[in-house]
Amino acid sequence: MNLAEGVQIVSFGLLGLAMIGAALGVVLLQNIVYSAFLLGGVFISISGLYLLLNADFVAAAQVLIYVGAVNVLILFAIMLVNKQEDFDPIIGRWVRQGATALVCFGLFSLLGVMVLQTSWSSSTSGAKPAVDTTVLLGEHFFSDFLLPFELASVLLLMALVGAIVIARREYLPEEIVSPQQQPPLTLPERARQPIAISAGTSSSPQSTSE
Amino acid sequence: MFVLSGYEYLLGFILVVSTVPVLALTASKLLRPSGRDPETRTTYESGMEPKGGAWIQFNIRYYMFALVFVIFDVETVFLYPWAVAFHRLGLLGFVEALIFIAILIVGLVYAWRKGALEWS
Amino acid sequence: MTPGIDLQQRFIETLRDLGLPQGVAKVAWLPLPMILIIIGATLGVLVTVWLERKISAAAQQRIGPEFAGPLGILQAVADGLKLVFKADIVPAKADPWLFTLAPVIVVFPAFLSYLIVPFGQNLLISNVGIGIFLWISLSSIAPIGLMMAGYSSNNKYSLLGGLRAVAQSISYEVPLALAVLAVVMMSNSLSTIDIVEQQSGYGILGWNVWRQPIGLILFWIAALAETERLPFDLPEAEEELVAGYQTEYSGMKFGLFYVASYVNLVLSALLASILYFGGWDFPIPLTVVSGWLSINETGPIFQIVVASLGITMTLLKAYFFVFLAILLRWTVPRVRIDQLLDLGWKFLLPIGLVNLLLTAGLKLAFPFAFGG
Repeated sequence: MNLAEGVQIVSFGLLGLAMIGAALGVVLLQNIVYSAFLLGGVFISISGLYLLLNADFVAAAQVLIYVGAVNVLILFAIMLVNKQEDFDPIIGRWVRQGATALVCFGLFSLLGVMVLQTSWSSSTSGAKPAVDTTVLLGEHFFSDFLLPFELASVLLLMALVGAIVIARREYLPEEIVSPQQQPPLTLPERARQPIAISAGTSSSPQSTSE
Repeated sequence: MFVLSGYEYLLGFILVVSTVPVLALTASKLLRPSGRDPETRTTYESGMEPKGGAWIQFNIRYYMFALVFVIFDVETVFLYPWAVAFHRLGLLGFVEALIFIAILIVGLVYAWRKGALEWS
Repeated sequence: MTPGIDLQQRFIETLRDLGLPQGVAKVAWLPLPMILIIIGATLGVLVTVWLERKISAAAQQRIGPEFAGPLGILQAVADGLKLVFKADIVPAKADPWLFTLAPVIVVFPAFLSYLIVPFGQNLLISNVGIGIFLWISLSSIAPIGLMMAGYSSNNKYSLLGGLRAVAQSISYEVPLALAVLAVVMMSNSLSTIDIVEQQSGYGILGWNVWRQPIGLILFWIAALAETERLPFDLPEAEEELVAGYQTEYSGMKFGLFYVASYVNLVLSALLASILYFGGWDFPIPLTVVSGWLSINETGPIFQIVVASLGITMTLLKAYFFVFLAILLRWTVPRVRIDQLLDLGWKFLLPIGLVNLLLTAGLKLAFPFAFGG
């Protein structure tokens, strides 16, 4: 094993750990905003794994789309509904959590069994990985993968139309004024403390908070 | 087996660049004064007493733009391989990409007509 | 075309002559160009800050900084040092972790993008296959940091500024990518080296600016919006939002935001010169010049002259764009947010698509003139 391989193995381990740690944080943290930011960390770790698999274009596209677009969308969605309110405790919450854990564990073991039973040797011993990935992707898109490529644009169109239809309801949430009537705007200002002469004017409350 | 060339520099550069903010913040931590009075830590609101928090509900329009952006971001990613391989694809590649872009222009027109691109 | 100086090869060979193995020699080389580039990028920021203040002063018929060093050239250094010594104030209601992390996330991709900026044939850190796409994808990370800054400050101005900054950034990313795509199509490669190579050979006539005039305007408008320069500085519009997402920041954390914005400006200017103005290419082809003067093209002195000329040309072109950005700042009034989004989505995006398709059509019709 030479230096390059060692670096790759260490990077793989670190990326894997970062990904699993961030993913656990996404699920387990109470603050939903932290979860959203950690999701960005998961996406970046996955992009690093793609890079280790010689897929440089896919790695950069992963950052561009998932971190730059999807994560931003998720953050906007959270900011939209970002109300600090206390939810009523759900009765029998641990039952639901247990059921979720069971389903997740089942899926995980299913994947694990699949990974162990697949013979991976055929995919590693065969052709040498391509270096010029972007050009090859382009050639495949416009020859044997043409139909999926064109269908992708139809899918994107459908997603756009659907999203607009759902998001553009006639009532917009920000126009709903909070139910309790706001008191007319006042200038809330603290009653001034008597200022000692030696303190000078600079210690007035307005200027200190800047 | 890693075959791509030049990415060892990316790894190295990530390590080197990450020292920049660390160094900057540590240097300032060592040099700056500390122990401020709590008044300086109040939230700034043009000199008024801050009223309510900022973690409140926000404008839905930002969300609409992010939605449309996701679609067109994915589109541009699909167009990169096309642009790079265009000299090998010829006229057929041009027509195929034209269809691809035309379908998405329909989406743009729809978003435009429905007012998803309007601010007010 | 001469291959140019390959410093890396020379360095590794020298170390191997000293008896070091190949791998160790390469690892010893690795950090050198990176540290050089980071120092260069920081110096570039200092120069840009000074230029900005001097040119702004000239535009307003003032003198500008004049006491710190000759012509006030050390003013930017003094400003930077002041920031290091400033108290770091974290608002009591803020989220301290995200508050600290946000400027780091903003400054990190800005510096990292220098990986692909070439100053000569071999004078860049790494010629990776995805080249310019790396910059596009890295620059899409910064909005997360802006949002984090806006949210974690727990300040209304900050949150509004952060949301605006992200909305603006994502709105102009698509036109930017479309402008870059048209250039990429002409050079058949994403690598920045190939993009410059494709423009070289005919001197100033071969540069992309003649073949992509719409693309250049598109790119520069989008780049100004991405770097939040006036006329697109709504996220920190001081009359409405105090300082936008930077409102609560002080000391070095504010300094990181400040550095990041200027690094991004210089980076955009560098990439504009690489994509449209032939990068390190001299306006008159150097082979012609060496022919006139009958100089041996492979001689070491000629090589060194060519390399330093290349670096100078790249920087001159880049600082021309920086100058343009500063002049625009004092020429054009700030747009409103609805005008900003209209410009991005209803004007630049359709024009970008048309420009891309036009380039593809022209490339089919005149393969020789558009990169074959």
